[in-house]
This record gives sequence, C-alpha cells and structure tokens, in this order.
Amino acid sequence: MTSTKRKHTTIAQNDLDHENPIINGKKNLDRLKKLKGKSKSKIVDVPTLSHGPGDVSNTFQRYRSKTRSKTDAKSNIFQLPDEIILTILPYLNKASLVAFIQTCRKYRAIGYHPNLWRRIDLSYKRIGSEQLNSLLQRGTVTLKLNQSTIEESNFTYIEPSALCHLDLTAAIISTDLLLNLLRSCTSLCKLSLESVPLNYKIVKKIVANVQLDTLNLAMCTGITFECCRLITNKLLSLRSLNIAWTELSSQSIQYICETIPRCIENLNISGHRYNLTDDCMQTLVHRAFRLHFLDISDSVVISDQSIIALRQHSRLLEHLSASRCYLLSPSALITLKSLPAFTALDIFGTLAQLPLQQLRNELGTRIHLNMFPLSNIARPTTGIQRTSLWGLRTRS
Amino acid sequence: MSQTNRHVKLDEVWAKLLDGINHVYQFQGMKKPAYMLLYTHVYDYCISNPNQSRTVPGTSRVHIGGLSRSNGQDGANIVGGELYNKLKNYLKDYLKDVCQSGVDLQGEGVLRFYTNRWEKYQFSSKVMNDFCSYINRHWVQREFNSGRKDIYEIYTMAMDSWQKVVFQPLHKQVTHACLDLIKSERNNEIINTRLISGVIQSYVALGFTEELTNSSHITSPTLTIYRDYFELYFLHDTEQFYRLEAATFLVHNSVTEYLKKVATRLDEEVHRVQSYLHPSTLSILIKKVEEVLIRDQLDAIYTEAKKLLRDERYQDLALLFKLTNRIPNATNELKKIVENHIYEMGINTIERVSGTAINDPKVYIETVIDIHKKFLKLVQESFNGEQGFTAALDKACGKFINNNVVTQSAGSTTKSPELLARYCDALLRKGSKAVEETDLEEKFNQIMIVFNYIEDKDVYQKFYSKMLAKRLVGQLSASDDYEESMISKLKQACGFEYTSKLQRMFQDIGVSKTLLTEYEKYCENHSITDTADFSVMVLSSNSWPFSGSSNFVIPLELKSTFNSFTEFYTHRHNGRKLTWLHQHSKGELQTYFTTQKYILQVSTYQMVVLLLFNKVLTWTVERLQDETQIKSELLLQVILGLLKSKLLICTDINDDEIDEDFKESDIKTHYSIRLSTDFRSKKLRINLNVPLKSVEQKDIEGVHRTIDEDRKMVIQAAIVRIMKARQTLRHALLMQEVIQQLSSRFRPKIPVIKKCIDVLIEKEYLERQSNEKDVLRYLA
Amino acid sequence: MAGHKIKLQSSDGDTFDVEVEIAKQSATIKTMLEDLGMDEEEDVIPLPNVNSAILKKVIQWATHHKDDPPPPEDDENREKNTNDISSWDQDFLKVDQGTLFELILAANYLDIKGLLDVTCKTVANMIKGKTPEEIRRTFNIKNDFTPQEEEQIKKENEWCEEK
Repeated sequence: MTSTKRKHTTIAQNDLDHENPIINGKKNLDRLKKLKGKSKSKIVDVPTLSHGPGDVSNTFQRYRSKTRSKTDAKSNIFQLPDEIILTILPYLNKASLVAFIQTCRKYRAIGYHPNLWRRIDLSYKRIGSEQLNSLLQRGTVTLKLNQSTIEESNFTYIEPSALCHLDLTAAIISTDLLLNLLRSCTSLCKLSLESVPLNYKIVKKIVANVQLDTLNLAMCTGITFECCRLITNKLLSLRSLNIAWTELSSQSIQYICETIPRCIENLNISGHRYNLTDDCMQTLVHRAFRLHFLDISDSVVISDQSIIALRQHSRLLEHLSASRCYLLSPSALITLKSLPAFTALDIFGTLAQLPLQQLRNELGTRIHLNMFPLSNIARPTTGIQRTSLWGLRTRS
Repeated sequence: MSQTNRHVKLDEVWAKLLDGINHVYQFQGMKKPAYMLLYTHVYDYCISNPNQSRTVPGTSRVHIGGLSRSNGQDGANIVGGELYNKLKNYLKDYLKDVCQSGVDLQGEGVLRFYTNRWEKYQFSSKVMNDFCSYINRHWVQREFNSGRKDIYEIYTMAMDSWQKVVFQPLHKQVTHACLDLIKSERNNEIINTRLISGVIQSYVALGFTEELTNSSHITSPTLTIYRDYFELYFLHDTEQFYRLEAATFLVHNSVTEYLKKVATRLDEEVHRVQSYLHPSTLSILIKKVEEVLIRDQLDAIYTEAKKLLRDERYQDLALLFKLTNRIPNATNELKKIVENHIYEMGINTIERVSGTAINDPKVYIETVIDIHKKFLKLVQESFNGEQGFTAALDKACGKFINNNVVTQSAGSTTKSPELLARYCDALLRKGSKAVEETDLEEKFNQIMIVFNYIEDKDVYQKFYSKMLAKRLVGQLSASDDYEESMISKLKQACGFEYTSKLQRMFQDIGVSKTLLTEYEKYCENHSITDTADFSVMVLSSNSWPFSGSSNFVIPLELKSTFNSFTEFYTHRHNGRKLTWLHQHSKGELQTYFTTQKYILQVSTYQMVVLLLFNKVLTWTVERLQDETQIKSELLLQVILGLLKSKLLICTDINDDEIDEDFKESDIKTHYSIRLSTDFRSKKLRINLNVPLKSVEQKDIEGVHRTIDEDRKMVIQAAIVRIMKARQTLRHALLMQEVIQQLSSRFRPKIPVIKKCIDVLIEKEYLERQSNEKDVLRYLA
Repeated sequence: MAGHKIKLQSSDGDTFDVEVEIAKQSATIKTMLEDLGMDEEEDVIPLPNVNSAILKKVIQWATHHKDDPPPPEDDENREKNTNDISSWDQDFLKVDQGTLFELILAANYLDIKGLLDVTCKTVANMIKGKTPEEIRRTFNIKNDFTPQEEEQIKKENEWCEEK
C-alpha cells in the first residue's frame, strides 16, 4: 500500500487546482482516527485534485496493473449484476446484441429479456417463419415487416404473441402464413396490410383484435362486402382507417359509409372513382361526426353538395384531401374556411396555376393548400421518420 | 477495491437489518452512518451475484423468451424478492401488535391512538423504503413490468400492510369516533379537529391503485378507502342529523328563521370540509345537506315565498331564493309564484283605479308603470335579476297590461295601446304641465317599457300617428326634439318599417316650411298681392292618417290665394295632385260690424259660412247650404257651433233653447240665421274652432274599424312573403310562421289567418297540393 | 445552504468534504438527507462499497456535472444513442476495465443516474461491432455453449446480421 500512497500524493501535488472543491481535510481525519482508534484509515495530506480525468486514470491503470493482472476474476464483467447488464444491453443494436448473446449461456439468458425485443424493424429483410416465431416469443410488441419477405419453412405454427403494432406493408407472405401470424395476435392496436392480398378468413382474424384503433388496408385486394361488414361491425374502437384503392363495390362503399364506427377520426376512402357518391358522403358525415382527416381523392362523381355537407356536419375537420375530384368548385371549397379547426386542403390535379393561386389567397395563411401529396391516414411510416412505426421508434 | 461481500445470504442480511428496522419502527432517531449501513446491507445482498450459487439456465431452455413471459421470469437474475417478503412479514407482525394495543379503545382514545401511531408509522415506513430503495429500483420494478399486481414499492407495501392489519380491524371504531366528534361539533361543542384530520389523512393515503407506464411502476392515489370507510358513513350521519334538525326546528320557528339557520349550516359544512376533510367531499356533502334541508322542505318554502311576497319582505325573499336556487329546477315553481303574484297585483291595482283610468291615460299608464317598477325592483333585489324571474315579470306584465278591467270594460284589448298613445300625446303636447325636461326622457323610457308589453303594437301605431298628425298640423308639439326622440325609440323597438310613416310626417312639416318661403318669393316675383295672409302644409297622402274632406264653394275672398298656390305648386311638381284638407284648416277673421274689433279664430268651414254674411245679414239654412255646398250634416254642426257662440242667431229659436241638449237635428232647413250685430265678448281674441265632437268620435271608431282591415292586409302580405320563400309548406307550419313573424306588431287570430289563406287561394296566389290537402303551394 | 458540506467516507477510511448540492446527485444520499435532515452535528457518512480512488473519481465527475439538468426519464421512444458522450466524459472514462466496472457499481450503489448512463454506454461501445469471439476476448468471458447451442442461436437470429 505504501506505493499507492506515494502516487496519490504525487498526483495531488501536481494538480492544485482551484476548480475542484473536493477537499479532504486532515483535521477531520485525525479526529476520525482518534474516534475509531484502530482505524486503518490512511491520511491524505493534501487535497486530491486532478486537472483532467486522463491523469488519474493513467495513474490508476499503472497502479492496477501492478496490483492485479487484467485477467483477475474480480475485474471481470461478471462482477456486474444482471440488472446492470440489462441497463447496458438496450444501447446495443440488434446485431451487437445477438453477438453478445452468443458469448455464453448467462448472457444468452439475460439477452432474451422481453424489454430488449419490444420493437423490431425487419423492413426489406428476409426472415423464416421459425425465426419469426422465435422472435415473437421474446415478447415483441411492435414489429415492422415493411416489404419484408417471410419465408415459409417446414415449421409454420406461430405461438400466441404480444404484438400490438404490426406493419406488413407490401410484405411478401403466403396466405397460410399470414393467417397463422394473425391468429397469434389478439391484442393488436395498429395494423397495416397495405398492398397485401386479403380474403374473408384473413379479415376474420383481423377483427378478432377488437381494440384495433388503426387499420391500413390501402391497395389491398379481395375485400368483399362480407369483409366490410366484419370491419365496421366488429372494430368499434377504430379511429383511423385507410381503404384507399381497394376496388370496393358501390354496395360495399355505401355500407361502410352507413355503418362506420362513430369514433372514426381519420378516414381514407379515396380511389373509388364512381362508387363514392354524394349520397354516400351525406350518410358518412352524418354518422362520422368526429372526422379530423378525410381523404376522398379520385372520386369523380363527388360534387359541391358533399362539401356543403362536410361544412355543416364535420365541425372537427382539419384536413381534407380531394385531389382529382373534378366536380368540386373553388367557390364551394372556400367555404371550408369557416370550419374552426380546418388547416389543410389538398386538391392536386384539379386547378390550373392561376385559379389555384387565387384559392390560396382566399384561404389565407391558416390553411395549407396542396402541402401533402400523399395520405398519412393509418399508414405506419410517413414523412421523414423512415424507421418509426406509427410514431414509435423501431430501429435499435 | 470494493468491500462487497459476494455471497451475502438472506439470513445474514436479515440479521443485520433487523436491528435497524426495529430501531426505525420504535421511533428512535437514526443517524446517517447507521442509515447508510442499512442501505449498504440491502445493496450488497441484492447485487451479490448468484452466478455460482444459482444455476444458469441450461440447454433445456432454448425458447427462453416464451417461458419468460408465461411465468414472469427471464434469464436475468434480479435479487430482492425474498428480502421483500421478510420485510412484509416483519411489518405484519409489528402491525398486529399495534392493532392489539388499540383494539379496546373507543372514542377520542382510539383517535389519539390511531393518529399518533399512523403518523409515526408513515414516517418509519418512508425511512425503511428509502434504505431499501435498491429493491424498489430493480426487483420491484421488474416484477411489476412482468405483470405482477401484488408487488408494490416498499412504502406502498407498508401502507397496504397497515390497511390490512390495522385499518381493517379498527376502522369501524375509528370512523365511528370521528363521526361522534363531528356530531358534537355540529351541536356547537369545541372539538380537537386535528384528531379527525389525522384519520382522514391516513384514509386518503391508504387508497392507491397500480399503474404500469412504459418505463416505471407507479401507484396512483385513489380515494376508495376514504370514500367507502368514511365518506359513506359521514354522509349518512349528516343526512340523519339534518333531517331531525329540520323537523324539530320547523315546529317552533318560521320558515324564514329556518332558512337563516340553513344558510349558517351550509357555511359551517363548507368550513368543516376545508378544515379537516378531503376537498372532494365538499360538493357531495353540500348536495346532501341541500337535499335534506332545502329540497325536502320545498313545499313549506313555496308557501313562505307567497307570504313574503304579500308582506313585501324582499330581503327575506332574497335569502329564500338564494337557497332554493341551489336545488336544480326548484326555482321554476318560485317563478310561477312570482308571476302569479305580479299578475294578481297588476289586475287588482288597475281594478282599483279603473273608474278614472278608463278615460284618463295618465292615471292608467302611470299605474302600470308603477306596478312594473315595483316588481322590477323585486326581481332585481330578491332574485338577483335572474333571467327566469325577469321572464316571469314580463309574462305577468304582458298578461295584465293587455287584459284587465279597463280593457274589458272598453270591450277590446286595444284599449291599452290607445291609452298609451294618448298618454304620449299628452306628454308631447305644448303646455303639458308637470313634466320637467329631465323627467321626460325617463318618462319616454317608461313608455317604452309599457310599449314592449303591448300586444297590439299596430293599434298603438295607428293612434300614435293620428295624434302626431294633429300635433304637427295644429303646431301643438312641445318640441321637435321630443318628437324625434320618441320616434327613434319606437324605431329601436320595432324597426324602421314601423316608424317610417311617422318619420315621413315629421319630414313633411319641415319640407312645407321651405315650400312656404319659396311660395312667398314666388308671390313677390309675380307681384301677386291679392292673397290672404296664408300658410300651408303639404302632406304626402300615404303617410298621413287623413282622408279627403268634403268640399265646398271657395269664397271669393280666398279664391285668389287658393289659385295662386295651386298654380305655384303644380308648376313646381308636375303631375302631383293637391287635395285640400279643409277639416284640418283654420283661419282668422276680424269683425268690422262690431264696435269693438274682435279676432275670430275659426275653422275653414266656419269661415266659409261667416264670410257669406258679408253679402246678406240673414240666410235660411237651406240657402246657406246652396251657397256653400257644405254637406248638410257638417253644415248643421258648424251652424250649431256658431249659434252657441252667439255670433249667429236663429230667429226661429229662442236664445234659451240653445243649451247643452240642443242638437243639430233641431235645426230645420227653413230656419233663418242672422248675424248677431250686437255681438259682444269679454275676450278680443275668440277661438271658435272647437273640434267637432262627431269628428273626434269618428276618429277613434275609425281607427278600430280600419285596424281589422289593415291587419288582414298585413297577414296576407306575410303569407305571400313566407310562401314565396318556401314554395310549399304545411298549413300548420305556415300558421306558426305567420304568428311568429307578426308577433312584434300584433297577435294575429287563427281564424283570421285561415280566412286570409282562403282569400289568397281565391286570388290564385296559393293553391292546395292536389295529393296532400294540408300542403300549400305558392303560385308565381 | 449554498456551500454547505457533508463528509463522505470511503471504504478504506478516507473522508471527503463535499458540497451538499454536489453530493445530492446521488439519489441515495439525497433521499437520506431528506429523511434524516441536516442536523448541525456533522455525521460522517460511510460509503463502505466505494474505495477512495473510485469515490474520488465519482466526486470529480459529480463536481464537473453539478450544473447539469436532471437526466431525462427513460423513454422507449428516445433513441438509445451511444455517440453522445461528451469529450470530457470520454477522457474521464479512459480507464481500465476494472475501474470502469467499479465506477458502474459505484454509480449504481449511489444511484447517480447520469454517471450510470455514461458508463453503461461506454461498455456498450466496447461491445458494438464485435464478433462473439472478440467480445469474449475483450471481457474475458468463457464460452460454455455446446456447438449445437451455438448453431441454434445463430440460426434463430440470422435476420439480425448486418448485410
């Protein structure tokens, strides 16, 4: 111990520094010594101060290397309790986490802690069904499979999962496997199946998640009238729904407008060409009085009547997209200005530059015109945050 | 290097902790070194790595994630559970002893015991929680995250233990003792409120629920314990106490005294909550007290209200109202009572003065104004000017103003507007006494108050315009400013249309003045000198309530004047037609046949007759008629008037026959009339132009008669207007709209509207829809 | 109370006078002071789990960070970034592994969130981008897997590998 004592003194003498208040009074220690009698306390004569952290650590390194070898069991990472390991691991990306798990059994056990696997981004990747199952069993809650390819192996059964948010946008997945995956989910809140082929069986599995609040089915095929019935009758908590370009029959569209859950706030029902009519809109706005965002783009038979109905009944409307609705007149659209919360209007492809500018002038600065060429409604990943999922971070 | 003992066993650590924990729970002070050592023992125990002693998950746990979620364990070993249980058991035993020592206490004893022990326990538990905080940070946190609901942070666990071990067995006697104390306080004894507030604080602290947020484990307070074990009983007690008090107090005291007591009680209860109960109790407690003390006594309160109204005890009424107003909808009945009272008072007061009031607008209108003033004050002072009561006042006033003894005896509801118009006339006339200028504005406002209650505003308008016409034509207005001020007030109340005619009349007078000066200039320029001293008013025929008068032969003396003005006027306004309103014209004549020269103020008719006596001194009635061409009926009235003035004498009648009862019909056509050459009068200027009685009477009758016709036109116009906008409309809806549209002017009667609709169908403005008979369609 | 000091005593008996406000970055000490109050009599607070050298470093760190805002609550939506260690902290943590682990333990013991965060990040940085074998070497970990087990883990997590 004498050598360390000498070192300490040296450092301290080097670093008499005004900025450091760590003062270690000799007097007190003397008293302490007296009190404790046979205390082993060593006395540090001078305030121990360091100029920069480097000095001390270097010294300590030397000191350490003299007292203990680097392989000393006590300086091993195993001296850190599991709760500390669990504090370190969230800082790792998944690749490094997996590498760490592979070091030994102990860390494999810790590394499968559900907290570490809650949010996973597998966009554009390939994953086997068995691997997917293994992942879900670690407690994944938020899973992004945007344009992923899910390969079926001989093992396709997926055990019950804790998934809440699932993004399968444009994923490549067999119908059987999709059914299996959805069967494992009973507590989904948000789901995107954009551009994935559907059928009645799949929709039936979807609506088993009764607390679903966001559903994106944009550009899906295979949605029949019966599917629509399931969606509007079972999903009573639905707040955002995207059924753009889903080739629904006019009967389906009408049915949806009549029966959509009253709590709906964001609805994208664009791309239905001749099937979304003024009558449908009348029914819709009477029922869905909480609408904030509405996209009715590419509905070619919608007229000013629908705008009037919106203005009268949708007092909460903030954002309307009505691009390529050629029957709408600027004079009707301008009346939306009177809605208290209204802030954005998209009417791409309907007006020439000049009348567009006029409309912009009349709408004033509060209302953005043609700011959002793409719909956000119920879609998991929008804007610049490419790695998040409905606003939740997924990249590790 | 760290001194951490790597293999601390549970028993060892417990042995080290127990001393300290005992120390803490015996409320002996603790020093920082001791505290820090306790913290360190707990820490050492928790991080002592069980790597060697506890097995690492083996090969059998490949799908470890799946297992982890099902049994709340995962691969990480986080220590603390066993120690947690030790602490829990310790507290349980400790608290059992505590409970034992309090179980036999009652009353203030148990309260002193409970609050004292509670406060200390709370503090001790906080200290223990803190030196065991490493367990909270990791083990408790993780248990909670994996879904266990029965694991709390140590402090909360301590609260939970108290709840189960001390609170459950003792709460009955503790709550009971609190309620006893509160009862004593309600009976005006002084109590130690700190005992209660301590208990309440404990009950509140014992309620909590678990919540899982994404990163931490939180217990959020709820008031379930306080609600279920104190508030419920407290409210029950409160109800009983006050029910009894209400019953006994009302036996010996008046309702007003009772209400004063209620007000005090309510204040006391507010203070009670503020000083030692939980604030959330305030609204529910006050509601309960209100129910018992006010809502359940409403019948008595209503009866009292009637009495207070009768006795005009407005201050007591104000208190009564304030308290009644606390009960939802309870003031509705009060409003009815007030409305009835005002109505009855109105009806009775008018009945008392009806004798004079029927012919005296001043008495009538001022009586109405006084009643209104009095009750407006009531509404404002006793009922805080609340809208419902203002409405009651309005309803009552509307009722008694439009229908009372005076209107009934006049046989029509239009009596009130007539009297109001006459009252205005009196005020606005020159020489109306009693009214100072400052008062006048106030009077106008009062008039407008009454005016607003009048249903038949069109009737008022008719009378008002008639009287205004007279004031203007006769130059009888006290001031143009007053006239204008009154008109503008009416305009504010009823709109431009209502007063447009009045305003036109007013303008015509101004225009006439300019016209006259121009005419004078015209005469000068054209050297017209043979005119009489002449002034004229040109009135637009639509605005004035005058009808054309019977004509007569214009006497020579006036001929040139008439002609030159007519020429002047038609020259200026090509195409306009002048009609002379002789019945409203007047002039002055000077007598030359008398020794004393008299100036006679006469109507034009009188003038025409008198001027004839310039030719001959005696005329038969028949000849007078021939010469003047005045309608005989009118002529006779004129002659009668002149006979009465003794300016003319009828040789066929004795002087003394011409008295009050002498009538026009008594004058026969063959009677001779001659100028009284020895006419004499005390006054030099004699006004013979007394309004003809028949004219006056006819005016009023005329107004009443034309009103019905006018109304039909107004109703028809309204129907057409509505139908034009609606195109098709159901019969009943049309009726409704008509009534609504016209209510600001008068209340149309339903049969009249029906008749108007029929008329319009006949005139082919409307038709009945062929398939639905009660739907009308507008025909363009 | 500015400038008021308390005495902290390391496991090997050294006593350090520390400003209360600096010491309070340790939630452990902060809570204790709240519970027991600051009496006139100057207790020496023993910290039996921290030796002088480490305590000195901890105090040095706390002194440097005394005016920092309180570290934010953990939130899943906040990026777990390991690149945001200040250059002072980087210098400060240029220590051997043993010291680093001891600092972690001390931060954990004294409940100094900021120090725990930055030391854990440093360890994470030591793991990042390495193969399992490299990690084992770095931390002296003994591989106790059977080859089959190793294969199993690899297979399960194939999708994680960076391409």
